[in-house]
Amino acid sequence: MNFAIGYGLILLFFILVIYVMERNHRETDNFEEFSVAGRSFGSWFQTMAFLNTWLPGTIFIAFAGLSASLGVIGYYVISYSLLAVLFMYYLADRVFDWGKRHNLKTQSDFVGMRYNSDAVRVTAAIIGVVSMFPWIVLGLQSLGLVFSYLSFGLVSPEQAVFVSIAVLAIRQYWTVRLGMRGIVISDMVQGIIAYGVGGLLSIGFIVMLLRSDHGFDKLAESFATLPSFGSDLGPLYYFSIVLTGALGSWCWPDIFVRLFTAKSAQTVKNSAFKAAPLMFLFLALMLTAAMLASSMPEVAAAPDNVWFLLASHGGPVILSVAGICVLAATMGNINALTQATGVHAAQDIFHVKGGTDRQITRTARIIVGITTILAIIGAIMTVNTTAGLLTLALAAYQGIVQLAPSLYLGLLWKRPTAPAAVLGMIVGFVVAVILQFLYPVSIPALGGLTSGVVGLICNTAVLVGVTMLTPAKSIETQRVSALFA
Amino acid sequence: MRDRSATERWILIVNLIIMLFPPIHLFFAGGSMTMALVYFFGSGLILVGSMMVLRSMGDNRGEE
Repeated sequence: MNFAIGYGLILLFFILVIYVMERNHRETDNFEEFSVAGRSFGSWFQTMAFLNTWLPGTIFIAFAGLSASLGVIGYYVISYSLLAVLFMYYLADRVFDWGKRHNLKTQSDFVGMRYNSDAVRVTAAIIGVVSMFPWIVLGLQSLGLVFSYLSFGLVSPEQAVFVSIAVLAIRQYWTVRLGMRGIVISDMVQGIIAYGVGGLLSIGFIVMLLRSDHGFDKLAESFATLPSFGSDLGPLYYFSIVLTGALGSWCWPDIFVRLFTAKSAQTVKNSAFKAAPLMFLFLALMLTAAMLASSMPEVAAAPDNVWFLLASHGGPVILSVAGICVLAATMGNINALTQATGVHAAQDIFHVKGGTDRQITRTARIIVGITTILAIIGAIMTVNTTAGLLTLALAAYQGIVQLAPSLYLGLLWKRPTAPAAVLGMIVGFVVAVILQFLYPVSIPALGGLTSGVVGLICNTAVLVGVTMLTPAKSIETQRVSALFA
Repeated sequence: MRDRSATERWILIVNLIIMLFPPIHLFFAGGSMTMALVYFFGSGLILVGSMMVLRSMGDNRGEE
């Protein structure tokens, strides 16, 4: 009976999402429609698409687990997520304006146009595609946890990964066929369920915990501390993870494209105004519930399962609804990642020299399919190594953030040149990868700075240094001045 | 217009300092749960409030 409730609710959820997508679909080979949905969405759709891309299902698992095992350090996700929303406001005018004026469809397209360079475009696309892949595999594994819990013991965690792969493979049919319009429309449904229902469940969990003697007074003193002087991680560790998260936010290709799917720059700003309070409320409630639950013995033993363990106190229906929240968040994220991978690889790598809309759209669809297959293989090969994969996914942040100097300085400053941008990205990426291998968490000798932040410092120094030593030619200076006018 | 631009710049700087400046979060998250929650929820509310201030300014109330 419980199995029927769990898997039955999953089926209902799928039918609802597919029904909404099919009602609103437009079949087309137009690449602008496939990649940015014709720049047609209003602020509520933009808000939910941003949230559903930004907050993956693992927010209920690994990030909630961090709060449940270590306390307030888990709240760092609130700080960097809100900074990302603030940046959205400041980026809106210029990015949307340049995007519309030059018919830009991807982040790599954007930096390629800014620096008038295919090398910048291809380098940014490769860094983006490589960094997104571990998150797709991690998403598949998050789904495995959902299918395992909602089977109420009938499906083992290992078998559940295979079930989730089968379900995702079916779901990807609509991502391949409908492109960005299907993703944004499904994000509305998935976002309401994941963060609306998820937020309400979190309130219920907090009330339950406070009434059953699991209040703030039961938390260990260490839960209210951050790594400081004399700690293993170092006093600059927290600063580093918030900085990397915030600067890295708009470096993710699937997030950046949200600036292009809106109707206008004002729409982007309005979606930032809506996203800030929604994101703050949801994260504050969910992470607080997870932290309070740490005093429960079963949560202390398996902190990553805190969301499901809390929900199991409400019976099979509440547990199933909680699982649907994770499923909804994961679906939105995986769809956005695979679609962004397809579009970037097709337009900015394989067809960087140009191609017809039909050719690029076809290539993008094929790559979405291939990426899904590769992620499935990756998930099968790492079925028992979730922790290692999460480390790899978080390490991807140290790589993706190396796009930040070229992206942000290119928006704020007229002088950076293409060679400076390419060299900066390559140096930053290589430094970050090497240091990440040597110091996976933080670098004690540098006060707790992370590999990504050291890479950023080198990256910025190279970008500024090369720019100053080799200024752009006058024709390029005039082009950039016209762009900024 | 210049006033608006200056306000926007200050809002960005203040929020970056609150969220990123190590002495602030190391002071608040030093072992007292009340202080830690005041910092994390307070800094979040300040940023949400900043967005409301930005919205109330000039053309941000306009149509999409």
